[in-house]
Amino acid sequence: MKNMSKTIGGWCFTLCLLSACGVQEPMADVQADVLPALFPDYVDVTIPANIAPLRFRLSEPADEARLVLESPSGKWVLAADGRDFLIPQKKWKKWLQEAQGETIRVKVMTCTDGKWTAYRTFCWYVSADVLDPYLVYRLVEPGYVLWNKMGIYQRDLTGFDEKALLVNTQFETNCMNCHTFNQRNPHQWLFHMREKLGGTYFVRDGQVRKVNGKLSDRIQSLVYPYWHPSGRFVAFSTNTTRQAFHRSDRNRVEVFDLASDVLVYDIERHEALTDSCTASPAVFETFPAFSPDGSTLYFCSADTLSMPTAFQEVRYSLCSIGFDAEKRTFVPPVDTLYSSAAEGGSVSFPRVSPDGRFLVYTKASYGNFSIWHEDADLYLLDLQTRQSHPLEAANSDDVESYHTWSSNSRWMVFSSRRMDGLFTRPYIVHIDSLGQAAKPFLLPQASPGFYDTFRFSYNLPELVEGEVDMDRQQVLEAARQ
Amino acid sequence: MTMGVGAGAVLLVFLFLQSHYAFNYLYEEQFRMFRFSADYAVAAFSRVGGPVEYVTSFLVQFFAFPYVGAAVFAILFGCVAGGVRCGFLRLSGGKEMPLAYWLPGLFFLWAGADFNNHFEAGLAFLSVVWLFALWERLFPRPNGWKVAVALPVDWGLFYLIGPLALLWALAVVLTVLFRKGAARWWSLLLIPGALLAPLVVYAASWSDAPLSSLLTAAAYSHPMLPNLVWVNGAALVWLAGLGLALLFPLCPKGQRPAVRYVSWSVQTLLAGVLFCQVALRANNERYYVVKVLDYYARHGRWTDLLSVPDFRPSENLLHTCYQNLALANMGKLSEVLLQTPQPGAKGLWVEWNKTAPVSALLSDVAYTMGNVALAQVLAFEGLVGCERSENPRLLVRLVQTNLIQGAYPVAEKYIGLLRQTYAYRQVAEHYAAFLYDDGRVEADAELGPLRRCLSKAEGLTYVALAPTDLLQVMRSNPSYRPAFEYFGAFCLLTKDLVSFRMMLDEFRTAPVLRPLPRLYQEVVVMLFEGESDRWADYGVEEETIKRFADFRKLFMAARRNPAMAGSLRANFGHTYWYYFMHSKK
Repeated sequence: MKNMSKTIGGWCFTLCLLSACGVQEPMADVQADVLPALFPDYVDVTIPANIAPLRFRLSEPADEARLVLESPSGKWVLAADGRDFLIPQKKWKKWLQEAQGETIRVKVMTCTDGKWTAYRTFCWYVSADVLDPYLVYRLVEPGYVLWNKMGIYQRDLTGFDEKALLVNTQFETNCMNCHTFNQRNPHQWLFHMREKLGGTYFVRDGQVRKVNGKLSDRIQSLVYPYWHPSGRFVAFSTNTTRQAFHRSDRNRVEVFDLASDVLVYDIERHEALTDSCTASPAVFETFPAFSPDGSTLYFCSADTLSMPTAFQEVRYSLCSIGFDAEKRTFVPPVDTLYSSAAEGGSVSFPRVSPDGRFLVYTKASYGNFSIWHEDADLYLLDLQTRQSHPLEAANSDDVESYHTWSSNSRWMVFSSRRMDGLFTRPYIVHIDSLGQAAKPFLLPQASPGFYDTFRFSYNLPELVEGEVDMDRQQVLEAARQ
Repeated sequence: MTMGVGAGAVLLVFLFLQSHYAFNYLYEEQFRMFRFSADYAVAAFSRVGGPVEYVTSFLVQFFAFPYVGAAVFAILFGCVAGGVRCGFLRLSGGKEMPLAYWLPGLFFLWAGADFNNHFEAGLAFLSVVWLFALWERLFPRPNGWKVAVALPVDWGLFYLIGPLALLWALAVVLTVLFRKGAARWWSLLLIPGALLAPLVVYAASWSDAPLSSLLTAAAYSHPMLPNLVWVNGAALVWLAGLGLALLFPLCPKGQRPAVRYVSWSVQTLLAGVLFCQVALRANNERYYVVKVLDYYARHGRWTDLLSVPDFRPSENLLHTCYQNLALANMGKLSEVLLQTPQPGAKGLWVEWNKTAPVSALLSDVAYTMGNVALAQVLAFEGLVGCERSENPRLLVRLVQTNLIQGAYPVAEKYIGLLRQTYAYRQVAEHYAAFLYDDGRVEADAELGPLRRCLSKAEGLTYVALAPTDLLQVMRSNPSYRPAFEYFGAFCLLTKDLVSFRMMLDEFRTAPVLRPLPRLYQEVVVMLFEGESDRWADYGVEEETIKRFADFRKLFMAARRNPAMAGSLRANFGHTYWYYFMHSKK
């Protein structure tokens, strides 16, 4: 009995000693001059100092693996859990804060048959620019006509917590979409509900108000929204949209408008402000977006064509028109910032950076529903020089589409289908003061294998400055009015 | 004796279910996808009612195999009866009432025919009755401890099985109230206490379910089509049985063995008769036949499909569609088109009503037609249209169509999901071999021809345009027989001889039209009546020419003598000549 106690005590002491020492970096038997194959691809990415841990998985199996992180503040060695590096949150937060503005050198080592291989070191550039802490998006199956469960969710980007703001299972399984915040303000936003409990819901400082989108005989529904910074107006498009399927094109689905216009909705007076410049029957106007100061309304415009016959010929230009909030009027003339006729391609989703310097848009070879166009890429227009260039580092061989700016104009979150061509995933990219993009990185998850089995698409990712506090009961009450 | 009776009852129930309900279980299996993976387990166990869903899905995956569904339900029934009996006996002081044991479980057997019913209800109810029996054993006296501990136990049960936990709380309150004791009136607090759990869960947004699904039996039914009859019926009957059990000790006399024997027999027989009568009525024949057809279509058992009892292709377009799908897959559609019931072109491509079953059927038809795009669209719509957006059968279709289209990353994702299942991992491994290997896809007997069906396909389509798309399929792959069979059938049933002739002219030398099917020969003869020198060019045979001559003779005779009409029909009713003249479009 005495001997057993001694033995147990000895083992306990040894274990304590070992745990106090932490995981050690092994000696490499082989130096491989190649980068490790890992998923997600977090090699040489620029990250904010307040992002959740970049947990990743080795693509190839190994008996053991180590992750060695080195920054000016020190070295941190982690052991893999199987093939996964599950970087702990607490220590990561501290580490990243200390490494802000610095570079973390990342080395992956694997052991197979007793031999350790060290792969080529890569970097994580920790930007001095902070990212807004919350991302709001809709999770929906990448479907066509039918839908099932969907909801609007909020993700804390500093960790892995995701909270449901609204889920349609609690609203008669209807469709909810187009959630849009006023300048990333979590207390001022709107969303649509379709089918049951249909309408546009304005959420302002805890109050929910439902508006019937049928404002007139001509205006039957409000579609793509964008807030005026004053919070009094919202620009909407009104679209008559149809969907068809490609017989053999890789794009699978084609969504097109039979008609569309842009208007500005006055929330206080419940009135739609229209102008022939933005609501012409001869033109498809859509995707409105205000400048940060509210004096300019950007939108996309294409000559009407017979649809769906001419679906591959419709091309949208990027235009702008002045807006006088005091007088509640548009201020012509319409300025064309990007002419599809002259320069080719078709523009959608113009978004101006909060500092007013840049405008990012999506460009595809034709059409406007770019999420289904494999060739859709992100472009940046310098509003001072009026020069456009593709965000090459951010683009891929597949779709890049909807995007949102951070409040400091240094980050964007955008939608991409680069992973498999069907499921939309959010990527985060740093944009410097010259409008150059760094390499983007996939939204990190608690488990690196999360995206393997996740069958929902991230739709309309919107960065938000603070936590959205949603009272679902208020929405239900407003819905039943 | 009771064990013997129980086992006998279970066996009889199994035999009945296997005979009358087997396809309900085989059909239900496709609407769940249990995955052997940590993320699936974590997702299940992190929500209210998730554990019972997990166990149910685990069991349902084995319904893919014959006999398992009926066996599981029969055993479930037996276990429910056993649990009810245990609880009953503790309250009745040992006096028996077999009818009270059998009745509650019957509701879940009947519910097996209700497509919108969740099988979780049966397992949840099983948990309730056994926990109650255990509770009575642990706390035979109605004291304060019994009530105090019951509340957290109920909350735990709520997490495990959902709102049926409230039923357990009600049963505990009933038994405590009925007996004298200090905790008697305190037990009433269990009810609001039990309600607290769902209310807190809802208020704190810990669940995505609507409040009704956290509080009522709506949790065990399709949210859009709630049917509370089965669960509420079982609950009421069980509680009534408990009430009776509580009264039994008031009856001073015990039961003599002979009386017990007769009582058991009569009550069991009564339960059996009730079960059979209700089961047969609850099993909607119309839906059941479709489930049978769906099963055979899924497994490519075309001969069995055509032999299904109560198969009515002449009256039911859905049945006709299945019939024609079978015939096309057997390569016989053009041969026997008019020898089989054909109410019209809608029997080839039924109207899409956006339900999961019709989406699955049309996906199968589109796939057979060679219309890969629509096969994929409909498979996806069917998948999304399922209550849980889970359907491994349709996922297999998505794998197939994505492989054909060369969308390998998406196919790989779906294969990864199917690999985590038990019943579909072999299929997943089979298709995994084609990933990123164009050569292998093109050489494959199934996928290769379908990929060739895409080579000249272009433009946009809609679900309703499936018949029109056939031309592009035929032009892409003139060797793909089913496309020709369907196109020919559409043309002939709608009497669109212009399009039919265009097909003949454009594809005259295509191998699929050599030899020309007898029915098509009849059309050629009719199209070029008076130009018999052209018939041979299209492959019309001497026999057809002779039959046409005979038809003409009889037709002319029938015109002069209407009494001959019957003879005309008897001899030539299956020819296109007769069809063209006598049927409406």
